[in-house]
Amino acid sequence: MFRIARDAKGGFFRHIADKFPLDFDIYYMCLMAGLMAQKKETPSTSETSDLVDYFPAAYSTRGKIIVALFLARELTELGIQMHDRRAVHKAVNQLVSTTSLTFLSDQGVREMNKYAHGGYLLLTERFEDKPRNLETFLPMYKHLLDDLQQELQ
Amino acid sequence: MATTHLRLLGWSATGLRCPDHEIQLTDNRDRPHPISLIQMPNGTGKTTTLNLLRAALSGDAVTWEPSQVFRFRKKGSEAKVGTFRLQAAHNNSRLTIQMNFDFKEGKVQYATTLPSGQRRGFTPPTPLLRYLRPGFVNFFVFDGELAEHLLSSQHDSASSVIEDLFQLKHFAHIESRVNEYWNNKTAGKSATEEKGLSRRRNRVELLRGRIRKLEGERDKLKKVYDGLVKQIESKDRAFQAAIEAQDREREHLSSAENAAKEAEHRVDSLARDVLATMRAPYALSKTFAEEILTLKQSFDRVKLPESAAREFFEELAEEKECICGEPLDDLRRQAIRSRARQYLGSDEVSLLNSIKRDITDQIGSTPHAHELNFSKDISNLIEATRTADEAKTLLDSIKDDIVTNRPELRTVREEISAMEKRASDLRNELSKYESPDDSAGDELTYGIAVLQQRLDNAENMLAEITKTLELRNKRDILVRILQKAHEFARQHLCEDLRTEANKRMDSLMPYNRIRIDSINRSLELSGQEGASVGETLSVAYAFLSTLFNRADHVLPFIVDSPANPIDLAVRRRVAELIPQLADQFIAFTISSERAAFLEYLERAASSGRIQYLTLFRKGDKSLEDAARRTKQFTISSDGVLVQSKDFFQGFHLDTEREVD
Repeated sequence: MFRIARDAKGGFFRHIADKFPLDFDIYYMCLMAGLMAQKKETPSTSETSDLVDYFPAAYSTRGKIIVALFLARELTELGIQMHDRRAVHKAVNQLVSTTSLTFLSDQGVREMNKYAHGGYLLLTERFEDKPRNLETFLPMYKHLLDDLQQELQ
Repeated sequence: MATTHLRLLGWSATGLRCPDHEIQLTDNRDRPHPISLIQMPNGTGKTTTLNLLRAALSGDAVTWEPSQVFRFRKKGSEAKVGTFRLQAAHNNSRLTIQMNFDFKEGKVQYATTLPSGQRRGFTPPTPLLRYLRPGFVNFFVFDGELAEHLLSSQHDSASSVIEDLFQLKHFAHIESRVNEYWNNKTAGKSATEEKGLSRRRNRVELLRGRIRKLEGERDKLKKVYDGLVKQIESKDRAFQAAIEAQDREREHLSSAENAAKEAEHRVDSLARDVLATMRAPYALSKTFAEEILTLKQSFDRVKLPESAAREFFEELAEEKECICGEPLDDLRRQAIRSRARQYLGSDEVSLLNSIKRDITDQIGSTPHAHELNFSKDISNLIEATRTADEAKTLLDSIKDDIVTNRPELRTVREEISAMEKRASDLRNELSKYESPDDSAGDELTYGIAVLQQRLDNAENMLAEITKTLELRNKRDILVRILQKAHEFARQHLCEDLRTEANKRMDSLMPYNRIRIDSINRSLELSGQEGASVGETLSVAYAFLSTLFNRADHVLPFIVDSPANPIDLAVRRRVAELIPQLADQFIAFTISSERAAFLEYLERAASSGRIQYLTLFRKGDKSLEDAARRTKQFTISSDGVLVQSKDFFQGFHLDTEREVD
């Protein structure tokens, strides 16, 4: 099950939460920020709440792409070289699942949720104020991703 | 259900603030007059008598403070006791209620006499208790204040009388009993762990209390907020209307408003498009696009997934010989099975191939193009936002100019701004009650839906531990049915009453368009915010007469000054309505009410139906002599009561008396 920070919708995203058609949009924003910064944080159960256990609506066609990005980052995080077929094979085996609607095993989902939580904390640190409207937040979010990319290089 | 019929037969007062008197409301065949008019000039104790009637009919005097009791003592008297005795008929049985005033102790004691005998205390027959109580008695011992309350949204008099008369409160009583039953059921069960049960029950109570408190706070705030929004809209309309009065200004403003609106729509639309595009990670960042593509290429290089799946090797291990033709022994089979684990299963192969296909299809051969396009969309959004801001600034500037050129609008504009700020603050305050934040403890959680969910869970846990979940579900269904039935009954009753009351008002005030629009807590009138005193009374009469002529009860209607504040044209119609208002109508009047009232009342009532009584204080010799000449009088120590139509019609007391 994808899990989202409890504070996200009622806290940081409070003023614009109703502008997002899906709650998953908020999870996705946090996830992308966490993946870009390669920041993982393990939340306690009380800090997060269940979201969904599939890629909803507009994300249904993008789910495998998101999983691919996650695999790319996670393999790097694990220090696995792509030419080491055995190691790649083993890691992929552990992280993906053919029976899950998320295409991820329980371990895979756990690790992805860590990126999402890390990304959420990053957003709350880097934005001075809670975003007030969507049209100013989106460009600022993109700007943040660009900054994070620069910082990693 | 049998009809409850209550009629007043008369009363007497001794040793009290009003003159000592005894009034009989019955004719020589002991039947109550349908209409009794009691003329009491100012200062005779009309208010005192009405209060005594209310107290006698409700039992309320036992709750009076001594200071309230002393107010009923005769002025200048040292008498230690006083008595008020009311005689009535309940269906065909006599009922006497006596109030004994003890002015030394400052107390009132009741005694009730029924056919079965006298009892101490206020103990009327059970069927009457519904009506003979403080909250209800004011509806049939009536004065102008009640009429105002019926039309005031600050009071719930209208809904209260309907709930009482038609016993709609039984729905709430039944609901309460159902909940009580469920509570008893959960109390009676032994829990697996006593501590656990007690803890869960405490939590349920805590959550219920918290939700009630927050709902109360929220509703209060919402009322203020809604009122403020209405005021803002009203002021804004007035402001716009003032602006639109000038053609040139109107065009300029209208054009700026349209431009601002269009710019805002464009921003919303672009923001939605940007959001839709962002859902593809490769559009968000070319780094993401490259990494995803690199992953696919890496998989291709290391031949992941393999062309042969694990199942192939597992099946091969079952064969007698390998595909190369070599025989397979146990050792070789073991080795094949062991190494087969290094290969992906066919499902995993399929998934990885599917991932690679999506990467190829969606990212294509120009991975950077997606982010470039996305960046352009972002730039367009930024530009559109700037344009919208400029349009808004221009619009505000035009409004400011208008205000500058017309100073009378400045104050309105400032007021609107201040109110909008306050409304925004209230909205922020209210939003906390919608908060989905579930991270804090119960005392620090404000989201009512969150708390409600916790309460549902807590009730479930409580029900579980006491194994009454099924009973709770049944309770919930029953409560829903009761609430729906109550609302259904209330709505239909109110609609019927509204229609009938409006028909009465058609005859009462045919040239006045005031009508009852709806009946909620109060009577809500159509077409206007408030009514004049006369209109208020007319609406109240129409409503109450509709009520008292409908339900399974017949009550007397006792009114203080039925026509006094009403203008002469309406008085006539009130007079014509009175015979239909109630089975027994008793009115306390003063001489100035007779004009345009008495003759129409007499015409509307059948002959012989009206009783004329005049009560005044001793002291005016000419009046006392006139009373004696009627031969239909009684004189007490301090009062004169005359039962004569001629005396009633000719009575006029010019002398100013101290009003009690």
